Amino acid sequence: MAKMTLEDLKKLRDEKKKSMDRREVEGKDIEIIIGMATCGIAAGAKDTMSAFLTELDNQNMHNVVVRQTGCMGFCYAEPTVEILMPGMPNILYGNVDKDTAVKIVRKHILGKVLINDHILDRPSADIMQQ
Amino acid sequence: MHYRITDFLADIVENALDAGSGFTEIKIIQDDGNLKVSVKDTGKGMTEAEILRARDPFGTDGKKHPGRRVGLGIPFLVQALNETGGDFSISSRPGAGTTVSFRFDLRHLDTPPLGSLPETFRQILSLPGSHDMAIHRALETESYDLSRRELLETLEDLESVGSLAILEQYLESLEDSVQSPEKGARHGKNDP
Repeated sequence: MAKMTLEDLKKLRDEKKKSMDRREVEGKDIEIIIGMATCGIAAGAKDTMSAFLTELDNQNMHNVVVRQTGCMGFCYAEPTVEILMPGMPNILYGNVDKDTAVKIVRKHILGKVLINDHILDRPSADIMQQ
Repeated sequence: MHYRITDFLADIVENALDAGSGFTEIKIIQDDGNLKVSVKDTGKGMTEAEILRARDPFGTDGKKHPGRRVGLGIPFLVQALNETGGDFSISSRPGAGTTVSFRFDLRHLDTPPLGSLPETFRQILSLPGSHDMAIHRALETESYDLSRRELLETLEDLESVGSLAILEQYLESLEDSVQSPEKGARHGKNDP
C-alpha cells in the first residue's frame, strides 16, 4: 500500500461521506460502548473493537458510533460491551469475543433480537454490596 | 496478563487519560532488537508514594474500582519486562504529569509479540475526550508522526464507523511505509 497523506485521507473521507449522504442514513442513533480498562484489554477488547468496526463497515453502517470506556465492574466477564439503540432496551453484554461482536451486529442491531447468554445484570454484585 | 506489547501500551495510555492528560506524547522506537516506548502525559501527576502504589498490584485510588483493591496495569508490564530482560522507568511530578518508559528486548525468547500498531493507534487515538495526542513511530531509519488534532480536523470525528474504517487504512499505509518488504518477516509484522 502506498503511503497515504492527510490529503488522501481527507479525499477518502469526502468520498465516503458522499456515498453515505446518498443512502438512507442507517445506524445514526446507535452507540456501542466497549470497556477498555486493564481487564478488558487483557481479555481481548481491542480485537472485539476491531471486529465491531469491520462488521459494521461491511454492513455499510458507517454512522454507528463506537466509544470506549473504563472498567464497568465486570472484570470476570470481559470484554464487556453496551449497546444503546432506538427500539431496543439498553443492554450490557459480557464475554464479547470477535464472533460474539459479529453476532451482536447481525442479531441485536440488525435483527433486533437479544443474545440471551451474554446479557449481564448490573451493577456488578460485589460493587452493589458496598 | 496482557498478551501483546501493544496491549501494555494501550493500558498505559488509558492511565494517562484517566489522570486527566490534555496532551499525551507517545514514542515507539524500534532499533537494533529493542523496542523503546515512552508515554508522557500532562495529567495530575503522582507523588513518590503514589508511584510506589502504582507498582503494587493491589494498589488503587479507590475511585475506578469502588470496594476493590486492584491496579494491575503497571504491575503486569513490570512483570513482563522483568521476565524478558527489559527496562522500566516512571517519573512524575504532582500537577505536571507522568512519563512512563519501557524497553522490550525483541530478541528475548519470552518477549510478548508486538501486536498490530495500526489497530492499536486507531484504538488509542479514538479514546474519548477533548485531549490531544502525538505519536512518533520509528523503525530504524524510517519513521512517521501522527497528531490526534490533525486527524480529528481531517476526519471530523474519531468515533463513527465510517471515520474509524478509513483511519485504519491510513494507519496501515504509514506502518507499511516503515516496514520494507525484506523486513516483512521481522518480529511483530505477522503477529495475530
